[in-house]
Amino acid sequence: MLLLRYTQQRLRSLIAEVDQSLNLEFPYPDSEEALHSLKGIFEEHLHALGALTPKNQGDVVAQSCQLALRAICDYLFFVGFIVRSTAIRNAFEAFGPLLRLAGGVLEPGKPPKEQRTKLVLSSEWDYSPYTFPVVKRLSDYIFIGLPAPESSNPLLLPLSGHEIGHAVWHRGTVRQQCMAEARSAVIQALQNNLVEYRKLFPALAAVPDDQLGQDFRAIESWQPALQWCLHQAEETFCDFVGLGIFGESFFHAFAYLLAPGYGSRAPVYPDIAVRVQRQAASAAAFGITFPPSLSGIFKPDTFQSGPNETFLVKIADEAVEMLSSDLLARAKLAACAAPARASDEEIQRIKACIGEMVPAENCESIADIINAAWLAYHDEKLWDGYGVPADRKHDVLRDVVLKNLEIFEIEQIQGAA
Amino acid sequence: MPEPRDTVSEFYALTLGLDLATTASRAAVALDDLTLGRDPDLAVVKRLAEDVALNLIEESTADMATAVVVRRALIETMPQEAENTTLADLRKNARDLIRRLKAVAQNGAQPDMEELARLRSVCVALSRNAMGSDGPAYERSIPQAPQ
Repeated sequence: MLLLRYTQQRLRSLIAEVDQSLNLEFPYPDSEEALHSLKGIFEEHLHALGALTPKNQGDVVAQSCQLALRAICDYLFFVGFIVRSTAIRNAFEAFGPLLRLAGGVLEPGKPPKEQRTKLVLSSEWDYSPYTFPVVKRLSDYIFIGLPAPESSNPLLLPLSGHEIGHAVWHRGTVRQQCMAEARSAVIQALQNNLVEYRKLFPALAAVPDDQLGQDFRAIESWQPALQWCLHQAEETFCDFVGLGIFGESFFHAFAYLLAPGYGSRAPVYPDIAVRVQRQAASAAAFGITFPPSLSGIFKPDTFQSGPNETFLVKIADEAVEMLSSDLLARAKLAACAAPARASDEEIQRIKACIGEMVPAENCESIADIINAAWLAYHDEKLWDGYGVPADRKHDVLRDVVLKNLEIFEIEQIQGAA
Repeated sequence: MPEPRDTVSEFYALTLGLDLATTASRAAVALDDLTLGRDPDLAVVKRLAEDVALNLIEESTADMATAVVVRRALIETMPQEAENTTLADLRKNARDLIRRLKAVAQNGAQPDMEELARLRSVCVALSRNAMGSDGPAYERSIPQAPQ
């Protein structure tokens, strides 16, 4: 029972750590509530282990301990994430508008006071920004983390549209709809590449071509391609949702963060150049234009692996291409729940206010504010005559936009009162 | 947190909505407790049966990852299962497993201790294989991660 004792003590230590963290000052309730939820997960494992005795079967006890250890490994990170969400480097001004946006898209038609969606914004000492669109057992939460140097950069907020897309994918019916379609697409892609498949998987010669989708000997060979296809489909869907919500500012934020690409690729993501081409091709569907300045800014990834894995990545890529137009249609539907983007005239009005270093009043959405911000960012004549040094413009723009978000949130709260 | 689908004790209300690995492990514990003459809450055993049905039997919600996990668990506990290679075969065997789990959930303690032990082994194997194929509890979505 040493294993059980160690596991229980690890959980007690972690719960004590969470209790300490609950004494912090939280800028908004969602972080604190997430911490309570995490504590509940650890306590639940402790409770389950407490019911075990030396008479229980060894493998049953071991499996329970393994799950508890996994929970610690999986969720400890979030304790730190939530603790860091209290740091003043985070853009607290963005919290209210983002939460409002997320709630509107994920729970359309529900008054804000009845929405369950919760948001935690934090920062990391890791360049890659990331989100956690799905955290098992914390499915009402969206966690968004930005690299510490960019954690207060509101121009990157459009990427949160992509992250909201992940929540739509997992919470609604989109994922389920795509699973069967992805399977059919992968099988179709295999049929289109049968010669190469048979060459690479000679051990499956006994499986007839028309049984590749039904026979487990074959299924296990292409199962990775299906998982990659589903992940890639999800990323593509989320790009489309981001575009639908934020319009052109999504292109700019994506490029700012990721161009020209890392150069190497993980199969769960589309090749970055292909991904951006798909975004660009979808622009017309959202009534926006792909910025000519971003054309060619992304370079294709390389993928280096053995022949079997390379082939399966190719199958996944081809399958995702087959799904692309349906993903776009579903994303458009999801993004409809967000406030409609304003006219060019309105965006120019907001931009003009930014040009005078004052927040614009009566804005309709954060997408409008951020679209105007990106126009200002690209305006080489911005603040000419205001005495702002060129290397300070980005910081000043950030501050003006954050102030605009603050005003926007106050207006929203007053309007709802 | 997802709403429980059944009326259960407050403790198990927390566990409902868990992943397959955790549900299967909890079911194994419940079955083990039955063999020890205890009186566990068997809602999680029923929940496991329902999850397998939802993710494997029902066409509209079938998940290939669950299919692979269930097949591996069945082969581990019944090696002759390796001869059955089709999805249709797996669904047939899974239906049988679901029926047996539901029977225990409904009737509680069984005179056939061997059957309880067999089901317990299948649940442990399910949990272990599900953990092996599960990703982490969270998916970190980096817009385009490096390899």
